[in-house]
Amino acid sequence: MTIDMPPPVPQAPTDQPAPVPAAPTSTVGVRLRDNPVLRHELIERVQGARAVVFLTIWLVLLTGILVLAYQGSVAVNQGFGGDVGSLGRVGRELFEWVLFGMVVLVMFLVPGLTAGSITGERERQTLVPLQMTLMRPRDIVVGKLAAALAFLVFLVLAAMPLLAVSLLVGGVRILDMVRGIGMLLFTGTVLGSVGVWISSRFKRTTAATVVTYAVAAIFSFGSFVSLATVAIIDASSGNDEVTAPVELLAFNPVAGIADALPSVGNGFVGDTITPFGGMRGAIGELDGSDNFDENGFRVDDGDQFIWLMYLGIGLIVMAISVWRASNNVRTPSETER
Amino acid sequence: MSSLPPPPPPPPPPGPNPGPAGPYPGYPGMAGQPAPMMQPPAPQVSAAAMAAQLTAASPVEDAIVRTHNLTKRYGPLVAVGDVNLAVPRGSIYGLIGPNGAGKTTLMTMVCSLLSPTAGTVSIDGADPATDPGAVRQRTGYMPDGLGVYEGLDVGGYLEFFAAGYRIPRAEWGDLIDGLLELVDLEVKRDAPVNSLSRGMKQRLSLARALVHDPDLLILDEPASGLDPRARVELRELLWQLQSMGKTIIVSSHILTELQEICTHVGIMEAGRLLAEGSPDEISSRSGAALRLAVRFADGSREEFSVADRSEQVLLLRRLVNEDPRGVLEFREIGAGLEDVFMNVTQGIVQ
Repeated sequence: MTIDMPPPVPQAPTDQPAPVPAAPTSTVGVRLRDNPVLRHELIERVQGARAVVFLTIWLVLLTGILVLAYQGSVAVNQGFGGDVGSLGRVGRELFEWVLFGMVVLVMFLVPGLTAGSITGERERQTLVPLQMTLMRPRDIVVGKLAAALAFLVFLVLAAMPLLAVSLLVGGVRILDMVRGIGMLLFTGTVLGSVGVWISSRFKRTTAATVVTYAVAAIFSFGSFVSLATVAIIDASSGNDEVTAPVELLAFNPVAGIADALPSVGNGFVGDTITPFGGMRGAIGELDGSDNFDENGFRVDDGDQFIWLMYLGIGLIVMAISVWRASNNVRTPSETER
Repeated sequence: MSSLPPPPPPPPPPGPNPGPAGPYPGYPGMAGQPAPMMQPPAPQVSAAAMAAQLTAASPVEDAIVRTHNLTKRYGPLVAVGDVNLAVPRGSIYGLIGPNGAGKTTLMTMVCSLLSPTAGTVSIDGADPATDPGAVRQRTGYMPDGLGVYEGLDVGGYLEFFAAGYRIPRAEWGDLIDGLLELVDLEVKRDAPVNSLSRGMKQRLSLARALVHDPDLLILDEPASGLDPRARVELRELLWQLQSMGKTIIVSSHILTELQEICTHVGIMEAGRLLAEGSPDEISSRSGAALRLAVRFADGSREEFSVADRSEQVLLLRRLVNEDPRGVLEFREIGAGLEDVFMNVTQGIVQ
C-alpha cells in the first residue's frame, strides 16, 4: 500500500452496473502480541515517573510487612521452643503475610489500573478512532485487561526477592508459592475484568473508579457480611449450630487463596497466625474439617473445595465481564458513545 | 509549513460523473437550457415543498455512498430523518448545517459507528450495520475531536493505527513516510504528539484516517479551530487527496471554505437533508440570485442580479454587444453557499 502513488480515479461509464455488494468482511482479531492496545498500554504504564512511584510504594509496603511479620512470627514461635519445626512455621508465616499484603495491594491497585481503561479512551477522544480500526471489540477489551495483568506480573516479579526470603527460612514449598502467586494473579485478573467492564459502562473515569472500588470492597468483605448476617439470624433465633453455608466464602479472595494453600495445623499445633491461617480455620469450622483425633489426624477432611469454587466463580465473572465490556465497545451502537 | 507541496490546480477536477457535457460541468440540469433574463424572485413555497424540490437532483449513477430514508431517533427527537443521500465517487461532498442539524449523527451512521433507527446505508455495496468490517476497510473517519495519545510520538501514533488495521509491520516504514510527507509532518516524526499545534494535530489525524488507504474519507469539522494559514493548508490537502482518487465527505460551518473546495454539497437542518447537488445546481434551484459586479470603461460600476448561470451568460453577451460604456470587468460577488444556505434553511433549532 502506498499513499504517494495513487492510481487515477477511474471514470465510471454511465452504463456501469451497480457495484457488486462486497462479501462480508468481518473484523478479524489480532494476535495478542500484535495487539496495539496492549503494546501501547504496556509502554505507557512502564514509562514515566508513575511506574517508578507505583513500584517504590509496592516494594516499601511489602518490605515493611516482611520485617514486621518476621519479628512477630519469631516472637510467637519462640514459645514453641525455637526448633527447626518452629523455624519452618516462621518461613510459612512470612510467605503468607507477604502474600496477604500483595492481595490487599492488588485489591487497591487493580481498580485504579482498569477503571479508566475505556473511559480514558472516551475522555481522550481516542475511542472512536480505535473503534474504526479492524480490531474486534474483544481485542480492545482483552488488550486493556492483558496490559493491566502484565503490569501486575511485573509488580509480582519485583516482589519475588521478598517472597524468596521465606524459602530461605524454610517451611514453604515451591509448589505452595506457585499456587499462592497463581491465585493472586487470578484474583487480579478477575477484578481487572470487572474494572474494564465497569469502565466500558461509564462516560467518566471518576464514576467508573468509584464503582470499581465499591465492587472490590464487596468482593473483599461481602462474604463476611453475609456470614455475619446468617450468624446473627441464627443467634437471634436461639440456634447454637452454625448454619451459614461455607460456599459463601468461595466469593472471597482471601478465602480462595487460603484454601489453595495447605493447612499446617494439626491436632497439637494450630494453623499459621496469618489471615490465611485464620481463614482456613474458619473454613474448617464451617465445613467440619477442622476436627482432629487424639493422634493429631483429621477426623473429617470435609468435602468443600473453596479454592476450586473460587476459581469457577472467578472464571464465570471474568467471561461475563469481558463479554459485556466487548458489547459496550462494539459498534455500530444504538447511541453515540 | 515551509515545504508545501506545489499548489494543486485551482479548480478541482469534477467528480467522475459530471453529467451531460455542457457549459457548466457538474450542473447537468442546466446544460443548454436558456433561461429568461432577470427572473423575479422565486415565489414563497413551503419548506417541505422546497426540500422536495431541492433534493430532487439528477440521479447520481456512480455513488460511493447511498442512503435510503436514513433515520435516527432518540425518543421523540429525530436527529436524522429520512435522509436520501448520494455521494458521487471522487467528489468532495460538503455537509452543511447549523449545530444540531444532524451532520455528525449522519456521518457516524455512514461510517458504521452508529446504527440507524430506520433506513439503509450502502458504502460501495457494503452495509455498515451488517458488515462494519468492510465499511471500515473502505472508510477513513476523522472525528471532530483530535483524539491523540499523549505518550506517543508522531511515528508511533501512526504505527499504533497501522497495527489496528492489520497492516504488516514490514510496510509500516514506507507507509508512514508517505503519510507524513502527504500531510507535511515529516520533520515531526519523532516529536511527541502532545507537542503539536492544533493544525498539525488535525493533519496527523487526517494521516491516521488514511493509514489503510481508504477510498472514502469522512471529515467532521476538520477546519474547526484552525488559523487561516492552517485552513489554506488543509484545503490544499483535500484537493490533493481528491486528485488521488479519494471521495471526501466534509462537514463545516465555514461555508466559504466549502464553496471553494466542494464539488457537491448537502444542506441539513433539523435532521433533514434540505438540498443536495453541486453548488451551482442548488443555487439555481433554491432561487438564490447570482449577484454580479460590472465595471465599465467609463469608470462606472453596476451590480446585477441573475437567477442562474445561463442568465449570467446572456447578461454578459448583452452588455458586451449592446452597452456603449464597454465592459472592463465582470465578476460574481454573491449567491455563494451562504446565500443559498440562508435561502434554504429556516433557522430551526431542535
